[in-house]
Amino acid sequence: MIVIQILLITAVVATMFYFLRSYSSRTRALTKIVAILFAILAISAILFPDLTGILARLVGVGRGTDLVLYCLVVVVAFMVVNDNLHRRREEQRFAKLIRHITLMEAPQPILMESCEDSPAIEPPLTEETIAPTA
Amino acid sequence: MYFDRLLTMSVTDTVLIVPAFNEGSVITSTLSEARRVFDYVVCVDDGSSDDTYENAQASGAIILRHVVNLGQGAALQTGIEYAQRLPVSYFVSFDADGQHSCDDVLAMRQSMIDDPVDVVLGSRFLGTSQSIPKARRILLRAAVLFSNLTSGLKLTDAHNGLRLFNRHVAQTICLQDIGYRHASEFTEKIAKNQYTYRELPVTIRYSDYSLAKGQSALNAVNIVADTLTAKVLQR
Repeated sequence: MIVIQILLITAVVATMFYFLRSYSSRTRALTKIVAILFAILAISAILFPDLTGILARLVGVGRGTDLVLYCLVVVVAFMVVNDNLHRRREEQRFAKLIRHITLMEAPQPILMESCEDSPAIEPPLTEETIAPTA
Repeated sequence: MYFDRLLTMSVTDTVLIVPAFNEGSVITSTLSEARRVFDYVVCVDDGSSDDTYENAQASGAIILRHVVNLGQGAALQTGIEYAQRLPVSYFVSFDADGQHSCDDVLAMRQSMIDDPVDVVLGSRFLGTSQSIPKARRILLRAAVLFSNLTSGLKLTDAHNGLRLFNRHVAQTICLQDIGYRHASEFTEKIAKNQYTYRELPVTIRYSDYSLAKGQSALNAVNIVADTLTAKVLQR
């Protein structure tokens, strides 16, 4: 076994180990299966470099390296999109938090003569009235 | 201030919601002017780094404050949620930079009373906009076209911040997008929640100040992109 293979396999195994451990309770099983499949594929490709070449020819790509590159492009694009969605969700959660603080600190309105059939004034937000995030 | 209110009948059934971010130089005059007509003015300082918060205090409006800057949409939604505690029937989104006029709000309110709908929208193109620069006019026309295509509504103006709506809308609109896209989101929600609506001509004062503060043409790209992705992702 040459040095690069040892280095790459170590990296893949370490990444997978770290991934499975740090997300243990949160990530769905599907994600874990994908991660394990990825590790198996990566290790076999590292051990048997010809494998990617055979696969590449099967799908009509010239070289194994090209196939790996194309896969990489797709994966990176997917990650960027995923990250963006995640960021947007976090943004909305953050906005909710700031809004909650703002409304808690908001002054009690000094009520002017109220108009007809005005609804009762809602009590300030409490923990119970805040809907949990979906 | 008190005499002003005695002299002119002030409006008690309408709340103006004014999101403000770094509007320190104009916020006092905008809010004071509004307070001369409306009892309830709620200003949401969106984490300004200038003296917006301090200057707003002097006007007699109710001032809320985001401790960090979120975006105009988020500030508007905060204002809408707070305003529901007030004994009012009508809610107005109103710009802090002084480009909207209280007379237009009164006209919109009257229109709402005469013939109730859920939302009365201001339109620049039905009315007489003072000095819309040509480049902006073209951009706005394109925005209207795009907005109508994506929302399925037939409006003459898009991204006009001046709207008057009833309590039902205030309770159900739930603006999710925290940034500048809230204008498109508002029209999308009109379509989605099937609010009844009407447009009314309004006059927008385009001052150098509001133009400098306004959305740049490049931001239109953001709005288009966000609207399209929102459409794909949420449905």
